[in-house]
Amino acid sequence: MLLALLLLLPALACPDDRSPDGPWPDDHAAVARDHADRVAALDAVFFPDVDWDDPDRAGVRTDGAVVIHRGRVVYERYRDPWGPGDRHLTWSVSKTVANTLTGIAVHEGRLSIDDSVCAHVQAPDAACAIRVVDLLEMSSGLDWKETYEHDPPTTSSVLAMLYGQGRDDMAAFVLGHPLRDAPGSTWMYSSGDTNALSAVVGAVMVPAHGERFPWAVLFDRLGMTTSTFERDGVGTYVGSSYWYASARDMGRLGQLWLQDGCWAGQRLLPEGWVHDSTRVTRGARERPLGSAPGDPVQGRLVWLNQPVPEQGHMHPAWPAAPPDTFAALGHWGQSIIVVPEHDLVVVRIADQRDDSFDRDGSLAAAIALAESL
Amino acid sequence: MSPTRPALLGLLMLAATLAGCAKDPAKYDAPLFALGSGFSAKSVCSCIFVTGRDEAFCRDQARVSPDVARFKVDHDQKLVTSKVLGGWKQQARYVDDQLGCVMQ
Repeated sequence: MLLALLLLLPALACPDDRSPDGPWPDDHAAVARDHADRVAALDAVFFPDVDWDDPDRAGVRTDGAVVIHRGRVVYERYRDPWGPGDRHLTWSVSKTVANTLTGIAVHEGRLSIDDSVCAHVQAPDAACAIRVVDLLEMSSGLDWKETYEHDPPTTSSVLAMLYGQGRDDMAAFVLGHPLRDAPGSTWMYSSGDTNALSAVVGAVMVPAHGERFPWAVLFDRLGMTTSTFERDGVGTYVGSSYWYASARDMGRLGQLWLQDGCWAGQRLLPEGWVHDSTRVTRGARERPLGSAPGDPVQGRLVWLNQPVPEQGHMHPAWPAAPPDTFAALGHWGQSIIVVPEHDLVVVRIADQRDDSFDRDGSLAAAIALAESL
Repeated sequence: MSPTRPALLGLLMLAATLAGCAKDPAKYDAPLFALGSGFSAKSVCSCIFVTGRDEAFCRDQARVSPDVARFKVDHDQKLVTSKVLGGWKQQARYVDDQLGCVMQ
């Protein structure tokens, strides 16, 4: 029996990884010297000439870009006044932090993704049919309207949650919405689902690790020094929108995911968690609401580079990158993109207000650099 | 820009909003301008105290169309107060470098 357990251990343990012990190993100056053409291609796609005083804020407005290859920084550049130690708002990149904290809670045995939300937080009876996995998959079925500055603001559920009547207790606001569809049956992008999830995770993690559990179980373990994670009025972390970090620290989250949820030989996420999070969800395959061909598609709070033949979407969002590429994406151009096949993490912080940035081109340039190293 | 222009713009927007509501009743009870000043207070608080940028940078960062929200930064209290047309006051306060800003 003991022998059988010992034989099982290596399968559950983590392989050697490239987690930095301290600051990232930094080769970017040498790479810029030895691979000038490849680096110039990255400069061209991330930092083309742009008029920063343009009142319409048009053009490619990258604040910073970092490329990590085999656990070493191989490209790094910022525009004034941003720099390597500066926190930047990541917007919906925060959702992948929410997923990660959920995974840690599951790994610690405090939560099951099949639990009803009502097992952990107070909610109206109708919401008790919603499970943790439905929130991870944006499939709560709640009647939600995720609209921003291009629609009438007063009808937007997300603006009401962040800045209006929902801001004091975002999860209660979200779970107070009526059901539009049976939980689990549809996919619809919802920041509300993520904040309901965040309240569930807080309910099981605060008693165990204290109010600042995200630092205890994640940020400090990864060696992040710049994480800010803002909360609502009742203390729920705003997992939909309000994680701040430097581009270098955002890269650490990407590296954790690249390493299957392992860090410095320790497993933070359950075995299979990254795999399960990077599959197209049932709702996205069967009944996505408000998703267009050519858009990236969602796994569990992670964007995927996969086609969805069930919906007639035959092409991945970023043809230059392999199909197992996945990403955390945020408003105004924030991104952490993981390319497992090339051992790459590509981070961008930005103030991108239009669709002029060539994300596929940036991945092509990063992969071309990786292939030359 | 003359001081009356934001007010005129605001009144025009209010009229447009009321006309819009006649067809498509707002689902939530926060008026448009309260959302606008709320977005301003929260965004500027975080921009200044979390990300360390200056007021001019943050004014542009939080600028929406029409640009009717005005904010004041109290660096001692680490408090940002925003108003639209002198009303709809909203505030956000900085806690610390981990927890950032929270709307009041």
